Amino acid sequence: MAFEALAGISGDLITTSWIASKKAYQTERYHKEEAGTVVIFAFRPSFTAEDLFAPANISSFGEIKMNRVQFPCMRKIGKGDEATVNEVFLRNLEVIIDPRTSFYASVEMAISSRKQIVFTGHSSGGATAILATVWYLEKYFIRNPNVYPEPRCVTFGAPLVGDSIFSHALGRENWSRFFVNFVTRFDIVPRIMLARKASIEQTLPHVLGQLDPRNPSIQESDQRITEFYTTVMRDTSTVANRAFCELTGSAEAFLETLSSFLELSPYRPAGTFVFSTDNRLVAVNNSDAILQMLFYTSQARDEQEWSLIPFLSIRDHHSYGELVQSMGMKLFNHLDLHQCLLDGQNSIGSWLNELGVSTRGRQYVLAALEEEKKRVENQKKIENKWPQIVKELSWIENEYKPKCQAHKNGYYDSFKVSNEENDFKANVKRAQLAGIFDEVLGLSKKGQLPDEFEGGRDWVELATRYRRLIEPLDIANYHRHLKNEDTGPYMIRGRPNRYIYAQRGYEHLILKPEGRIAEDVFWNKVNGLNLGLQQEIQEILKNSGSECGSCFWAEVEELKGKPYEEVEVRVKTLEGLLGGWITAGEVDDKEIFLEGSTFRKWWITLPLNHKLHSPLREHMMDEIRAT
Amino acid sequence: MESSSSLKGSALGKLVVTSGLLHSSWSKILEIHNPPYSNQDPGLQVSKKKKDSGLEFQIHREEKFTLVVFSAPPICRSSSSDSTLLHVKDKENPFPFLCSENNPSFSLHTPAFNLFTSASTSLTYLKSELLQTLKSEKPVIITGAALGGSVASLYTLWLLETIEPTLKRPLCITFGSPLIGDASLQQILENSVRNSCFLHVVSAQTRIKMDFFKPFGTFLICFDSGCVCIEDHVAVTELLNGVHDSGLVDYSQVLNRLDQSMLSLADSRLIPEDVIKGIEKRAEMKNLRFDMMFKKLNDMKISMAYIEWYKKKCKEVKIGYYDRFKTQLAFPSKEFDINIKNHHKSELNRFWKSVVEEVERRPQSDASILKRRFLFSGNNYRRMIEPLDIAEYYLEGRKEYRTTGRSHHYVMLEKWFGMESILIEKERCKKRDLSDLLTFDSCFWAEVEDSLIVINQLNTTVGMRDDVREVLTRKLVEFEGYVWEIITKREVSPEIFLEESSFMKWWKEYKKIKGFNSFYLTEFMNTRKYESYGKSQ
Repeated sequence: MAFEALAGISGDLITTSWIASKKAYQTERYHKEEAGTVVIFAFRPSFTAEDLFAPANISSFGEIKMNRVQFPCMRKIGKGDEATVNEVFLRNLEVIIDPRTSFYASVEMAISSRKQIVFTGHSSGGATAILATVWYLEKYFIRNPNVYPEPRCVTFGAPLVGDSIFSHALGRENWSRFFVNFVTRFDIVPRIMLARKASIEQTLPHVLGQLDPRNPSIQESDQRITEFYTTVMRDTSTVANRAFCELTGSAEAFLETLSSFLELSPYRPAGTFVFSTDNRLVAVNNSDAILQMLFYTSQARDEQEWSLIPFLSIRDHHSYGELVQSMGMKLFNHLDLHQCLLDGQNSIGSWLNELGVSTRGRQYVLAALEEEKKRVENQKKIENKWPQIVKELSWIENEYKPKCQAHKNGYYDSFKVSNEENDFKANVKRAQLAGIFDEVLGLSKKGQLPDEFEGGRDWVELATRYRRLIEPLDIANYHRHLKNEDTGPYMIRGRPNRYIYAQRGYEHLILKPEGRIAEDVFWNKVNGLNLGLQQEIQEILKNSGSECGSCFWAEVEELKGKPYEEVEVRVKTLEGLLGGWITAGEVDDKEIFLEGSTFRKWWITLPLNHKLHSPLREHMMDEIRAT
Repeated sequence: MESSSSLKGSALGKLVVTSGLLHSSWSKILEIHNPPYSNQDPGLQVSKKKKDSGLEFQIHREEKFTLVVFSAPPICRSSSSDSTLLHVKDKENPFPFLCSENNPSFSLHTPAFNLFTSASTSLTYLKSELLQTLKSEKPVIITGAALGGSVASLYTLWLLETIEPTLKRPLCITFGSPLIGDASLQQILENSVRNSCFLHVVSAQTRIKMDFFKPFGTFLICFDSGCVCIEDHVAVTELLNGVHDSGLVDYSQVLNRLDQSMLSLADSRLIPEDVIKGIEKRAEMKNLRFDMMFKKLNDMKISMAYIEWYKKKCKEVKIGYYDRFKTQLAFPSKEFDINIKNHHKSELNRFWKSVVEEVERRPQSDASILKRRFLFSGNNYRRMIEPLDIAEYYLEGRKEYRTTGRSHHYVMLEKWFGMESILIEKERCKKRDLSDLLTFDSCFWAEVEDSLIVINQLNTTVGMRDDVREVLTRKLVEFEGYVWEIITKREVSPEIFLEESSFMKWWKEYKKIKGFNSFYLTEFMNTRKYESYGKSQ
């Protein structure tokens, strides 16, 4: 079945998940079910207002940032900002994953027997399932993707859980494919989180009572439900239109001015959404397109339907049983611009039409998909430039560096004085490469590259090679033009973002299997040098080049103008970290110890007592003997 | 498929309608025109009525934002197309900060301007109060209908002078208001973030005379079945220009219809296809211009690398790049030299002229958004390339470059750098090697050339009067003082002391004229101290 190919999960397993989700209604927190090699954890939904918006949370949408120590992947790598999620959902997860719970023990057991885990749930139980899956991915899967089985997350009418960074991070790690969210056409619950807390507070408890499957006695005309529905859809429209304007980059300044008057929900769809019609299932995995669909699929086809929709928006929350039952008989389509026709029979247009999306609405959905196509094209454009990047880097590695080393001063110092024709050639290459990497940076900042791009191993490795080889040249250039004097230290004013982003990408790639973050690793190393209290050292090392191996030369340049007594801790930190950088390939030890190198020349001038105890004394034996 | 601009316009329109801001503003406008007798609004703070002019305004402090409503008497037909010209240098001009290098003056709609100035005292008070509000992170809406909206626009423009980029920008919402500015004001605002602070709500039936006054800001054009939001002023003109329609529009009804249209099923096309095409074309051009500037900046760095290399090569043969360029201009022989002139230098000049032009289109106070990246590379460019322009200039037999020959873009680059660099703490190290330093004063060589011309005059003019001779000699001494100053400040490149340089030629001649009586330089030059100038110690 095509469905399994897309979602990586069989129809049977979906049915089992739904049954387990229903069983979870009666439990305290979750229901566990084993089906062959699969273990299913279904979470209990809640239908009280306190379980949608944390009572003590004063923000307009009950949101909170994810903790980066606990969830190191759930953030933007380059810029560094963490994903935002609904606070109650997160607290709820924390209770469940406490190591003393039976849930924790069951997960450990499933893992030790290498069983695949499916996290599932109906309504807010689905929200818990989403976060539990993220927790599993961060805690187990990432440590060893070859050993731990891929998890699956199946939700039925779940509210939105996280923001655009949440969805971006899942995409970047190539985890989005584990999440399948079923939405019946009018179900209000997947839209609730797009509304402002303040605007629905009054009617929410009543509506939640109606949504609870345990007392299914919905009235067809209920004024409070109509009011609730209208409010949610109005806010959904605001969010969808705002997101569309931002996505297509229109009237940016006006949009910014206007936005300071709007309260906009941060929540965005993440993973694959499967919308259902009478005879078809339509899967979409583009978050922007799903957002538009959440609005447009819930519009009425005609006046008669219009008056019924508020009622349907409640009823459809109860109709996942029918959806699952009829799944085998339905057609299945995947909304994807690369593979599908736009118009005519059996086209994207006709599927959207079946979902009740108007002509205008269809254009919004398509325009959102079109943006994804552009991102892919942008990535291709960049990939076309790889050979040039590799060519220039190889020249530096194989021609430039060896020639400079022959002159006994290394390419850093050669470039700094720039007396040879090769230095000039290197300078032109430096500028060409900067152009390419700045272009990538610009695209990535504006979200104009696919989510996966930033996390791709090949790209991260290329960017790392670039950073290690070329950043020293940028530092040399900075100091040749004495910019440290009229602009300030390199680390504060001069370090280009293209290197900062490359550094963070690299750190993320190597640290994520250990579940650690770069700041902690850095301070672990520095504290290991026993130079004093971390607090004091933190102050001293603020903006120091010791933060990153490719900034080694910037730190040397800063230190060399200052008396030893003033910068003793910084000198010792640099020396202490140098060994690690050399092993990791951040710093080239064939370069820095050369006779004519700025580093060696400066090191010689350090006090004898320091030199005798320095970890570098081995490398500098000649100098020590001479003194 | 419908074009994306039309989708964007209608998405933005829907966003404005569902935001509820129009209703909040309009209800307060109704209130100021028909004040409720009894239950006073507790959020209502100020209500002032100027009996003589008829301008009135109120402040409402709402939970999420503060609203200022202006109300003005109906527009008097006879004066409705009068305009008042304001120049940047006028003492009476409350908006000098809006003027740009290209647009030193603009005209405003007289009835609105007069109402605005008549209430200047109370408006000044209001300004400081609103600034406090904005600083407390609460956004501000300024609104009004008809002429009241025009005054609201003027007031917002005025308020924007003092709003720093870190603060939230206010939003001015007008309903069916006459346009207030001419083509110059439109041009000034077109490239400014200030343009984003104006939302003009107009009914599609309204026709506005646009022969003198031109639109700026964003327009929400309301049709029976929906609305569109457009920023492109050419399209706004195309859609709304026409014979002035005096029929009053009831915006209560317009807003209600808009609300209905949000729920309606009908999808209708609101703007003609050709207007859309125009919008798209202009948006594309604008994006291209901006992208090009950033992309080209990198190409320019490559050209700069070539010139830097050229400079290095010249030094090896004991002639500075300035003098090498000058002799090569006269007798071109090597391809490298020709390439420098015809390719790299002219590319650089073209690029930086266009950057300066782009910045000059912006209002004065916006120019500072010129990114630091541009600022420093621009300064580097000026110090590196201007000497080459000077070489060309003097080779043509002209003189007094600094005052009569200098290209405008150099003047501006120097001015902006000066403004920005004050903000940076400088810590110039006394010991540093200066061999790659670019002389701070990019007109240094022009000074040398002018001094050489003076020497030439002194040497060749037969029977020169003593007083003339004295004036000329004084010029030389002044130049000597200037050189000494930049040497002691370590702001000049050591390249000027290369054997073949024009400066050394000058010194030899100058020494002959002054003998050993020169004030500053004698010892420095005669004892060859200059040889160690700028070497690291």
